[in-house]
Formats: sequence, structure tokens, C-alpha cells
Amino acid sequence: MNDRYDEFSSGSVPYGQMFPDMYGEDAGGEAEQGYENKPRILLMGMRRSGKSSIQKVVFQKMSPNETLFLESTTKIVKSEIASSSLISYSIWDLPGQVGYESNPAFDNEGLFAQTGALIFVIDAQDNYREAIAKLHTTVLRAYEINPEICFEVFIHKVDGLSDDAKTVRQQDIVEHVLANIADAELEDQIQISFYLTSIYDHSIFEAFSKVIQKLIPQLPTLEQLLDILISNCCIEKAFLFDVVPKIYIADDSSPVDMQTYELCSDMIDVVIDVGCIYGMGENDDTGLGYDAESASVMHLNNGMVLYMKEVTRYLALVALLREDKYEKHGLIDYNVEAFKNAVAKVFEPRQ
Amino acid sequence: MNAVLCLTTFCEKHGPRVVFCTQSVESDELSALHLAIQDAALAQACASCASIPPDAFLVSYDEAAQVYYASTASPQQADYKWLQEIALRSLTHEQCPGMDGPIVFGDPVMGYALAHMFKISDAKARGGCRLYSLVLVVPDEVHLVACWDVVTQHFAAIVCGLKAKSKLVYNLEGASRQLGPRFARQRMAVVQRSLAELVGGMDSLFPFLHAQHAWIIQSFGRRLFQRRIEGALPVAPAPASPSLSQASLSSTSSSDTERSASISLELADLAALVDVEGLACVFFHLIIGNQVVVRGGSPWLVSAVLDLLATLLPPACVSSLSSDTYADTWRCNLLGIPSRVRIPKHVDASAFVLVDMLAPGRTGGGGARSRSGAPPANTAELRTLLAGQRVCIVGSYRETTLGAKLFFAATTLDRALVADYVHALKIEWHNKAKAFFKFAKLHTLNDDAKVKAFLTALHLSDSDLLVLRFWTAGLARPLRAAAASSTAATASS
Repeated sequence: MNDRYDEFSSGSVPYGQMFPDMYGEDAGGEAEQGYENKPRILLMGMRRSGKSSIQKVVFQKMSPNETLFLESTTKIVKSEIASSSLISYSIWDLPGQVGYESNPAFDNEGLFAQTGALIFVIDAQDNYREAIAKLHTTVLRAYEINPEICFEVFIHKVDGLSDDAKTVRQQDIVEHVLANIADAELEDQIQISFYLTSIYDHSIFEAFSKVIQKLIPQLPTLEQLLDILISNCCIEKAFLFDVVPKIYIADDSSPVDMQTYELCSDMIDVVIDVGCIYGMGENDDTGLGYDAESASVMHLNNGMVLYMKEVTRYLALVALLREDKYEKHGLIDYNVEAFKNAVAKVFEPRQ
Repeated sequence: MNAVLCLTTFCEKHGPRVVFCTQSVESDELSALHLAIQDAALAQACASCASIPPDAFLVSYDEAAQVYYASTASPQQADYKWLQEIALRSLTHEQCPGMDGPIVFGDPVMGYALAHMFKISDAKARGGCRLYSLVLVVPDEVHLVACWDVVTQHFAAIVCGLKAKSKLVYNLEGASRQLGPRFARQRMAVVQRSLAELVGGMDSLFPFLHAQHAWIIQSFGRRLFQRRIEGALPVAPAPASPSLSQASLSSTSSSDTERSASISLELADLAALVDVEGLACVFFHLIIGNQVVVRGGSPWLVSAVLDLLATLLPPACVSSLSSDTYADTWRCNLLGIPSRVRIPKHVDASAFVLVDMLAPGRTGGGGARSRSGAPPANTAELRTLLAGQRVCIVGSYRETTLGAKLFFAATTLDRALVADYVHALKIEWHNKAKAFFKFAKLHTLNDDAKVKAFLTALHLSDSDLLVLRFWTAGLARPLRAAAASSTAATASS
């Protein structure tokens, strides 16, 4: 894993060599390409903290209200996000009642060694002392086996809390977790990111986007491409969306405004919904209503324009720009076409 | 380990737990069980992992088999850990379609389990149902699979009954589900209920389950019969040293029996006296069944050496004799004779090995003492006696696999390990002999190519064939009958 990231951050490797290196070498040859070598994301946490709900809402389009009727998870549920999207990874949803990190009967090496990110879900509406203790043992165990894991803590179910309460909870949890890590004298080695999330709004998608981005080795390249695009087209903000789970795999380097993200995310919904009704091609095997012709422009009543264009089969560029900058839309179309070609080159060997 | 039958559940709070456990106990273990559950009462249990009160147990007596079948809320201390592990595995690891149906899993250490997973509807549980499984754990996989039909049928019958009852309760409670998502979101507290409540049989469910479990264990036990077909071999020797085995044909030297059983020699004692060639020679003749003649002035010493050698062979292969005259090879394979006796000329020199123990000074201390008839009082004295001897071995030998291993045991291995090592060797070669016996039944031994292939398969050389032939002769009769019938079945099929 180390090699993988180093190579891409240097930026000097030709695109064509990126993917074979990424999935082949450090996992022991081309023969093992596939399921086992995909970066793995573990969803862990206490029982009833919302792990399965997150997985269902983000990746299976389940309505948040329906998640109330989910059974408790008794087995590790593995779902592969490979067939429907460009970036392939697998998500493992672990039952919270079973102490995988503390029971020696489990193969912790097997569990953590291939893991790219560990998402620990804490129910903010519940008493989270126990969860913090479990998080601590989990982090230490996982770090011991695989120091490369990205640790992500979702402070979940914050929809029921006021803004003040959210901040207080977050501070409290962050303080406790970091103090525990400091007690173990690992505060320099272990980096933990915290997110406030809820399945009833876009925060869970945004948090998941951040997690996924850490697993994408091409991220710096994509960000650079987006930066070039927005500076040449006077775009305010641009995202590169994975249209199926509606998480963005890259954005330009300006800060993300939650409202902008929600707008862009909703726009994809609209385009796909309309596409499903009117735009289903005869040979559309995805059933998504999304193809190479998909594009949309929406003029908002506050003088902004939302611009969306298909980039690759599962990626869409969504940009927000001022109406007066959209006058030369031929130029923008041309630039986006150039951007599209560049992205296609980045992902070329995978297709 | 006997068969154990458990009801396990995936508790919303504690994860997979054993909630009800039935097993057979002997009458003397019943009081121990009573004590054990006193401890178990301390273990935490929430409403959904609760069954019968933790300090109570249900018991049935089987008059025919003279055993009790006892059901407790949690497994006994000794079984607790691995049964919990079985519960964990049945509910969280093993997959069966729809999480409803029987599966078999297990390993030789943990035992083999036949688990029937099922879901019981519960209006107040997450997802509207709870996961349970009935698990029968037994040590023997073949037996378990053989009983598959009977056990799965009864499991299915029990589960079917439980589901039907729970459906009634569920329908009665169904109204609460109509209240819509807002209500559900606010209802944070999880309602924990035991299986008895879910099927609407608070008092009757577990006695019913106990009766069913006991019946399954009983009928399972009835189908099992164990037949011991080989004698005392698998019993490990006492760790101290090989004990003195009774010589089956011991005719003379009645005074032998007076000797204390704790006095014995070790292989290393013998190895210290005898040169390398001689030792290998003794082992070779011993293990292929040739006569080993021990000749010496001291009858104690002679019989001690004979006993030592006898421990290297399976009991059925030993016929030991201490005599004042030479006995022919067909009479015994271990012969002890006084030093004045000569081997008759007609005996083929290659068919026996002579271990000649010569006292250096005929009138010396050791020799004089032994002639006086006083038996050595302890092992140390016997060793001194042996150390005073000059041992001369006459005979020739070939390399064999077993001979080389015995030689290693005698010369190189630590004294403390020799007994176990020899025991393991004996079991290993005993099994090889069994295989050879079956092989000989199926094929004629004239077919050199096949014999060669057989030996290669066992990683043996040609000279080992002699060893196998002799050890096969030592197999007990019931074993031979069993092996013969099994090979006959193979041959006919």
C-alpha cells in the first residue's frame, strides 16, 4: 500500500502504468487481481449505531425511513462497489455485538491487513462511553496489524440534535478519543478524522466522499485537472461525482460548502430521474438512464448556473458558476471536453 | 465428550449466546452440576438470553441407559467457552439460504455441530424477527452425518411448532407496527424478550424443549455403538519408565514374580554397554521376529534385559521365556538362558542374535552376588550389575526404518522422552501393520510391483517388509476380522 500512494503523489508516472501497479504488484501478482485486492472499508461500531443503515442508504439507495425496519446484522455483510462504479472497493459491515477486535478466535490479520479505511460509527444520541472504549481497542488492534489504515469516526444520528448539542458532542468525543490515543503514546502515528453524519441529509454522503477520496490514488491528478478547469472557465466550484452512490471522488481545491454540495447532489438526482423516464437508450445495460449524452444546465434564481456533463460511464462533472460567466458556454463545453479526455486517460487501463 | 444440544440466540445486546443447554450426565455428576450452576448464576443474562432461571435445571432419567439428561440455562464451566464459540459460529459465520435450515460444520478439536437456524417473528425486535439456532454438538463427524435425517427432521418439527406459535403472538401484537416511522424513530429502547414470551408459553416452553432435546440425545446415543477392536496398545506407558510386562510364556524362574515391579532397565542403559553394531543388530532381529537369546550369569539381569526388549514390541508379538536349556525359535522370540548353555549347532546362525553377558571376573563382586541368589533391591543396583558386564553380541543385521528409529531412541534421545517415543513408534508401526494386513488381503504378495508401490507409499524400504510381516502377526484377532471384512467389502464394491 505504501508504494501505491508514494507513486501517485510523485505525479511522474505515466497514466498507462498506474492501474496495473496499483492492483498487481504489492498484492502478489496479476493472478490475484480482483475481489481480494480491492481496498476494503470496514464499518464498525456498537450495536444499533447505524452501520447497516449507512451502507444501505449510501450504496443501495434505501430510503432513510426504511432503515428503521432493518434486522440487526448477524454476519459480516460484504458488498462490492465495483460493478456499478469506476472506483472499486468493498464495504464490510460488521455486526456490533461480536467483538472481532478482542476475541482471539478471529483472524484479525486477515480482517485488518487488507483494509484501506476503518469507519467507526458512534451513535451520538446514545451513551457513547462504551463506544469510545471499543473504538480505542479497535484502533490499537488495527494499527498494530496494519499501520496504513485510515481511521474515520462517524459521529452518527446527529439529525436529532441541535447545532449546539452537535458541537458539544463532537468536542466531547474527539477529546476522549484523542486522550485515549495519547495515553497509549501513539498520538503522532495514528490520525483519526471525525465527521458529523446523518442519513437524513447529505452529511453521510459527504463524509463517505472524504473517506473514499483517501483511497483513490489518482486524487491529486484529478484535483489538479479540476483546478485548471475552474480557473480557465471562471467556475465557482466543481465536483467530480460518482453518480451511483452520489459521492464525489474529487473536487477542486477551494473549500466545500455544504449547500453547494447538496445542490449538486440533488441535480444528479434530477438528471437521472428525468433520464430514467425519457432518456433510456435501447442498449442501456445499466438501467441508470445515464449515458455519454447526459448533460444538463440549470439556471437558478439567484443568478447562478448549475452545469452537469457526463465524464465517463459512472462519473459526472458538476459545476456551479455565475450566470454572466456562462455566456461563452461554447468555450466551457470545449474545456469540459478537454477535461473529459484527460480523465479518460487517467482511468484508461481499467476499462 | 458426549452429545450436547443447545438453543442459541443472537442477543441484541450480547451477541451470540447459548441460552439453553441439554446434555447427558452420569448420576455422580449430577451433584457437580448442581454446584456448577451456582457459579453460572452469576453470569449476566438479559431478557432475550434468558431461559430457565440460571440456578435451576431440568432433569430426566433414562432407566435403560442409567444416565440423566440435564438442561441448564448456560453451559457448565468446562464447556462454556467452546459452546459459546459454536454459538458464535452457527449464528454469525455459517450461511444457509434464508438463514433458515440445517447445516453441519466443525473441526476435530471443537467437535462437529449440526445447527438448525431459524427466525422467530417478534413485533418488538429490530427487523421484526429474532435469530435462533438449535445446535447438536458431537465429537464424531461421521456419526453426526449418519444421523442427519433423524436429527434434522426433529429439529424441523420443533422449529415449525415454535414458528406457528410465535406467528399467533405476532399477529396479536401486530397493531403496534401500524404507527408509522415517526413513532419508530422515537422508540429508542429495545424491547428484550425471551423465546418463551415470543411463543406465548412462559412456563411450558423450556420443559417442552428439554423433553425434545433429551429425546434427541437419547436416540442419538442409541444409534451409536463403539467397538474396541484392539487391545491395550493406545494406552501410554507410565511416564517414569517402561514397566515390566508380564512374559506370557514365563515357565521357569518362579522367583521372577517376587521381584519388585519398579526395578527396570532403560534403553540407554543397554546402549551404554553395547557397541553400535551390536545394538543395531539386536533391534533388527527383535523387530522382525527373530529370536533374541540373552545369555548371562545373573538370572535377574537376563530377565530385566528380556523385559526391556519386550517393551519395544506390541504385546501380542512377545513370547518371552527364561529357561535352563535352549528353546527353539518357534517356541519363543525372547529367550533367556544361563551362561553355561550353548546354542545347538543346528540352529541357523542368521535366524537369531545372541546377547552374551559375560561377567569380567567370574569370582568378582557382581557375579558372586548374583550367583548367591539375592535379587537386586532397586534399579540403581541393577544398573551397577549391568555395568559390570561385558556384553558380546553375535549376529548380522540390515538397515530398517524402525530399527534406525529405535537406535536413535536408545543412543541420542533424552532419557525422559524415550518411553513416549517408543510408544509413539509402536502405534505408528501398529497402524502400518494394519494397512499391510489389508493390503495383503486385497493383493497377493507375489506381485513385486504392487508391494513396491505399497512400501513407497508408506515411505519404507524393502527390508521393512520383514518388520511389517512380523507385526501383522501380532494384530489382535477381532481387528483382523474387522479389517478382513472391510477389505472384503471394498473388494466386492
